[in-house]
Amino acid sequence: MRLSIEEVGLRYGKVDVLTGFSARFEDHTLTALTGPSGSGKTTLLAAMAGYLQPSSGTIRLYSDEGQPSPPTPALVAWVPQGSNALSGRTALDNVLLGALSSGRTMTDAVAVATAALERVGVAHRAGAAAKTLSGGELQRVAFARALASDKPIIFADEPTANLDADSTDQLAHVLEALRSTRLLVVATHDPILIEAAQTAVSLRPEHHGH
Amino acid sequence: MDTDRWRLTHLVREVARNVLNARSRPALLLFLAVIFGVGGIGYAAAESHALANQLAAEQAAGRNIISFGALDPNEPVLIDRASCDQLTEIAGVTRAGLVQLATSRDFLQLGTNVPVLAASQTLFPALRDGVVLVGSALRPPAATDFTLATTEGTLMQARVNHAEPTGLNTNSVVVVPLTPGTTSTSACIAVLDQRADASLLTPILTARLHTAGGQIVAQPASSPAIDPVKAYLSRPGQYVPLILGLVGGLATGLVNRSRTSELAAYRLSGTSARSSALLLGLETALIAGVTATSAVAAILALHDRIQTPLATACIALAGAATWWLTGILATIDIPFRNAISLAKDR
Repeated sequence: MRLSIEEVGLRYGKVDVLTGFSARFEDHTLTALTGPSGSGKTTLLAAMAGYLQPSSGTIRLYSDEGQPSPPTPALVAWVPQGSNALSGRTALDNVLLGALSSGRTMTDAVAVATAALERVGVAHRAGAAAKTLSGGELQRVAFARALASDKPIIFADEPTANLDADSTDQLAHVLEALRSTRLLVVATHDPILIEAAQTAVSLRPEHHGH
Repeated sequence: MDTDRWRLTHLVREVARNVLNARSRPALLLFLAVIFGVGGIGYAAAESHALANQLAAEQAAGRNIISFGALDPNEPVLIDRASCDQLTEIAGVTRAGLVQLATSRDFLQLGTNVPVLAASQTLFPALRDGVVLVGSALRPPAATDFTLATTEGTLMQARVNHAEPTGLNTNSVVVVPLTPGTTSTSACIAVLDQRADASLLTPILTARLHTAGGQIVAQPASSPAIDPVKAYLSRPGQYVPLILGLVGGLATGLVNRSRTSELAAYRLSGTSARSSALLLGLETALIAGVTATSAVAAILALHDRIQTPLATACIALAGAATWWLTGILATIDIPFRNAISLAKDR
């Protein structure tokens, strides 16, 4: 699966956030979507996930057979900025959401969720309440939830925005480990994450179309 | 429209884990549901207690005691004994029967010139035990029957009667059974259930009496300006569970609005808006169910202190339904909002 953007324009209210933007995002690749604050990274990610309609241009997903389709949230697991979690529930419960929403049996879902927690390095915190986890741990739980959902695409919006340097490093290692598993796009202006990515797409005006 | 493959059993498990979890915000609603469920019924019990006190006071003052007699003293009336005694067969009539002021007699234990009233056993059921009834003002209450003697030497088994309300006026007399040969007298008295509507029953009772002579009239022993039972049945306080349900539903909406970050976790990891709405609906149903269960348990515990337990239960259940409906209406937009804006809204 790959994602193609052709001459896309995006509007936030009456303000043009992006005009004539084109890019391609390949499967099994970690792409950093870069740009300064306010450059429209989140808005573009939302459009790429099918949550927003572009004001102009087209966004298309291509299956492995080359069949095009419009983007849809049903194919995307989204890791938001900050920590969206069920704070009173355990880390495992939070990751189970991803697995259960794809129709797995409970036994299967627990196995998948546990594997996802191991993959992001927080399996030892599986039974801890989310409210007791650090920001970095919560962010890794969010990635585990996305992995467990079996969605072919993962978008992460500024995942290190509220993290300290150590947590950012740990998350970068997680992303490096995940980069060959999905079509993975991380909106960020963090140099550590950009370094971890295989490719980068910049939203700086001079870089549009690259 | 986005879709997911949540199994209903797993979604129900999520509902239980979100609500029945002391660390979660909906747990606060659960606590509120119990307080409101029990509190609403406690309030109903307090109102019932106030009504019971008022009825007891009004009963002593003659409430719901109807005397039937001649409309015009110059045109005496005779009321058939059987028709008067049979008024007890009508729903809402506690006891009824003929009365006849027989005479006055001198008793060794009670003094001289004590009035003696003859009455039907259907009006004073204790007469069926073969005793005469001594008015409570004539002799202190006693645990056992005693032998009452007239100054002429006649002996009879006697029992001190409990205090009778105004309208029966037998606290200072000795009541004896009507003789079998007495088939009519000039007065019939009916004691109605305290919750009965005397204004509705009186014409029915009057029509059932067989009379001879002049016209009869029904006279209530007491005519309060406000019927406490009617006032109780139309009291605004009975709708307190509905108001509590409304408040609970609004509180549910507020709590759910403080959980947008949690709902974003569901939506952004593959849960559809429809499943998220179902989740919130089921959570609200569980909370409303707890308030209904608490209310029903309180009614079962306090049923003998509540005047109208069935009606109270119905209103409590309507209160729970109000909670659920208000909670849904106060929440329904949240799962259908853009999932990304939900994630930012915290």
